[in-house]
Amino acid sequence: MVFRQSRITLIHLSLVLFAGAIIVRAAQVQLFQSKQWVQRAAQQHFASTALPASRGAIYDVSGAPLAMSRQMLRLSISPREVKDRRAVGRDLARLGVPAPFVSRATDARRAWVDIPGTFSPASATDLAAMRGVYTRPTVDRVYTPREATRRIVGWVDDTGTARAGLELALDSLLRGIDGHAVIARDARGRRFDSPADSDVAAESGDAVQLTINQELQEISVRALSDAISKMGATGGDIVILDPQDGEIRAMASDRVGQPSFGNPAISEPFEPGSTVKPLFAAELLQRGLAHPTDTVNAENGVYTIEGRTIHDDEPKSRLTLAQAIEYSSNIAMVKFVSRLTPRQEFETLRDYGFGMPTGVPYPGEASGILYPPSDWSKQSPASMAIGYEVAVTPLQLAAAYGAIANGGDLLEPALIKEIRSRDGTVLYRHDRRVVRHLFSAQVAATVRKMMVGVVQGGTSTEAQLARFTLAGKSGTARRGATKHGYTAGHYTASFIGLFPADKPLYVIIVKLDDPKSTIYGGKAAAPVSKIVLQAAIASRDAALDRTALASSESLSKIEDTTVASAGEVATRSDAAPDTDSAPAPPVVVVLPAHTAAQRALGPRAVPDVRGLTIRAAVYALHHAGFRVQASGAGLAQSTLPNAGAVAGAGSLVRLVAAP
Amino acid sequence: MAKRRVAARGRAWVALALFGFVLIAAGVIWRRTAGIARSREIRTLEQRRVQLESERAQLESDVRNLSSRSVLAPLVEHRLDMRVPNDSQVVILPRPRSAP
Repeated sequence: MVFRQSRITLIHLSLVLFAGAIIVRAAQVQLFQSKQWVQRAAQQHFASTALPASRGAIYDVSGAPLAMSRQMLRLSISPREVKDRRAVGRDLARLGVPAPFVSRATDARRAWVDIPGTFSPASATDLAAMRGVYTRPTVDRVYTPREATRRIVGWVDDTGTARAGLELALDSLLRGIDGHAVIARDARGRRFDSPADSDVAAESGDAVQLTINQELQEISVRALSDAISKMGATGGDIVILDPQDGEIRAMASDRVGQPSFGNPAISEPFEPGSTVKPLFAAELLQRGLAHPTDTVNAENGVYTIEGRTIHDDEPKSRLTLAQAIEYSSNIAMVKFVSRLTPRQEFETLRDYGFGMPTGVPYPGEASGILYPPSDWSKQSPASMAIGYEVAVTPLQLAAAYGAIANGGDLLEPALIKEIRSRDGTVLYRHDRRVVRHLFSAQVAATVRKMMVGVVQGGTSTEAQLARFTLAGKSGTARRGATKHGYTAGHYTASFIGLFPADKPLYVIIVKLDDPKSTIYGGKAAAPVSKIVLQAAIASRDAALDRTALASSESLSKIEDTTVASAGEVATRSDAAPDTDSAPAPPVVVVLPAHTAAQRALGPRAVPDVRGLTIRAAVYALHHAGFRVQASGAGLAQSTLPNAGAVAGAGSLVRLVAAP
Repeated sequence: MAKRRVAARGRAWVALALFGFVLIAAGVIWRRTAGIARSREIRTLEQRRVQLESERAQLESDVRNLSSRSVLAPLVEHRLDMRVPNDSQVVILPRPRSAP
C-alpha cells in the first residue's frame, strides 16, 4: 500500500515537474524570446512585396500620349519547388525566354533562377500560378511614336532607370514613390493579401505635357530623313518654334550611321554662316546706324580686308542693306557691320543669346561659342559679320529669329508646357518669358520684309509657298574647321523661315550637314522647309492657329472655292488627281482644330444636319466634335452614322449632300 | 447516489463548455477561412485588372503607332498614290457668324 502510494506520488511529482517545465518554457518563449519568435513567424507567414510606382505619363501639346507606363512582371523560378518542370519549361519557351535560362529554370539542382526581361501579366498568367514560380511587379514604358520622339523624350531601361532625354532630366518628377504590400502565405506557400491593412500604396509620378506637337514632329522627322537621303547629307536638324510664346513645336535630328542618342539640335553648335546677317541688320536699324536703302560698294564680288579675301557668289557693284540680305552678300554685310565697334558686334550676338545655354530643361545643352573681343583676331569682326568664328545650336538660332518674328522680344525657349501631379494639381505651367527686348516692332517688321525678299526673289526662292508669304534666310557655311582653315568641299546648308511673314506662327530652321548634291542653303534646306510647311498646313493638328492663318494677308488673294469636304482635314472623293505644276481646284478644307474640351467629352450624339447647307452642316458636325467627310455640294441629306446615333468624339461622320 | 448525480452534472457542464469552445473555434476558423478566400479572390481580381490595364495600354499604343503619320503616310503614298496637298490646295474656312 505504502509502495503504491509512493509510486502515485512519484508520478504526480513527474507530472508537476513536466507541467512546470512547460510553464517555464512557455514563459521563456512568451516573455523573453517573444520578439525573436514573432519575427520568425512573420518571416514564415508574411512577405513584403514592393509596389512599383507608375511613372508619370508624357503628353504632347495636344494631349496625345508620347510615353505611358504599364505594369509588367518579372519572373523568378525556384526549381526545387517546381512540381511540373516540363510545364514550366514549355511556358517559359512560349514567352520567348532564351533556352539556357529555360534549362536552368528546370534544373532541380538549382535553388533560384531569375528570368531576364519583363512579361505582360496576360501572357504569364498560367506560369505565375504554378508552384515554385515567383513574380515581381515592375513598370514598363511604352513610347508612341517610338522613333519620332526618341531624341526628345529619351527612354527608361529595363530596370526602370531613366537613361536619356526628358525621362532623365525630369526623372525626379516622373518616377513617383514606390509602395509596398504585405502578402500572407498559407501552409502550402500560396500567397494572398494580408488581412492586416498595412499596405503603403505607390504614388505615381507627375504627368508632363510637352510643347512638342506630335504631328509636326513626325512631319519634321520624315522630311529630314528624306532630305538627308536625297541630298546625300551626313545629318541634319529641324527646329520649329512658336515665336509668340517661345514654345518648341518640333525638334528633329538625324545623323547617318550614328545611334539616335542625344539631341543635336540642342547639343551640337555649328557656324551659322549667312543666317546671322538679318540679326546684324536688325541691330544696325535699331541703333540707327543703317537704313534699308543705304548702299555700300559691293566690290563686284571680291573684297580683301585685313589680309582675308571675301567673295560673293553673285557679284554686284552697289547694294542696299535690304539687297545685301536678299542676295546674301558677304562683302556688303561686312561693310555694313563694320559700322558697329567690335564690342557692339559682340554684344549684338550675346544679346541674341549666343554663347550661353537657352535654359531649356534638357540634359547636355550646349552654350555654343562666342569669344569676347579681347580674344579676336583682326579678321574676326568681318568673319563674325558673315557667321564665322561663332557657333550656335539650331535652337539658339531659332530663339534669336523668334525676336524678329514677334516684334523684338528674345524669349526663353520652352519644351515643357505643363506639369500636373497625380491628383491633377498644376505644379508648373509655362508662361511666356522675355529674356530681353532687343529691338522695336518696327525694326522687326522691316527685317521680316527684307527676309520676304530673300524668298520671293533672292537666294531662297525654292522655299516659296503659293498662298502664304514666307520670310526666310539661307546660310551656306564651310564646316570642318581645323587649325589651318576649313576642310575643302564640306558645308553646312541651312535655311530659316518665318511663317507666315506678316505674323509668324512658326520659326522653322532646317540644317543639313555636308549635303552632296548641292551645298547651298537656299537649294538644299529651303525646299525642306517648304515640304514641312505644306504638310503642316494640310495636317489635321499641327499646332497652327488657323484663325490667324486665315487672316494672313496672302489669304485674301484666294479665290472663292466650292466647299468640297470638311472636318479638320478631309478629301473629296471625286477629286481629280493634282499636280504640283498646275494647282487643281481646292479639295481640302481645314477647320479649326478641336479644342481639348470638345475632345474630352467622350461619346456624343450625331447632330441632325438634314436640310442645312453643306457649309453649315460641316460646321455643326465639326462643332460637335466629329471629323467629317462630305460628298456632294447641295443641301445636306443624311449622315452616317445617322442623326441621333452615339459616336465617339473625333470619329468620322460621312455627310451626304445633294449633288 | 447524490455524489454520482453531482459528478454527472459536472461532466455535462464540461461537455457544454467543450462544445461551446468547439463552436466558437469553428466560427473563428470559418471566418478566417472565408476572409482568406475573399482575400485570394480580391488578389485574383486585382491581378486581372492589372493584366487588362496592361493589355489596354499596349493595344492603345499599338493603335497610335499604326495610325501615326510615320506609318500611314508611306502606305497611302505608295498604295493609294495619294500625296500631301500643296498650300494652294488647302482652303481655310472662316468660322460662320451664326453656327447652327
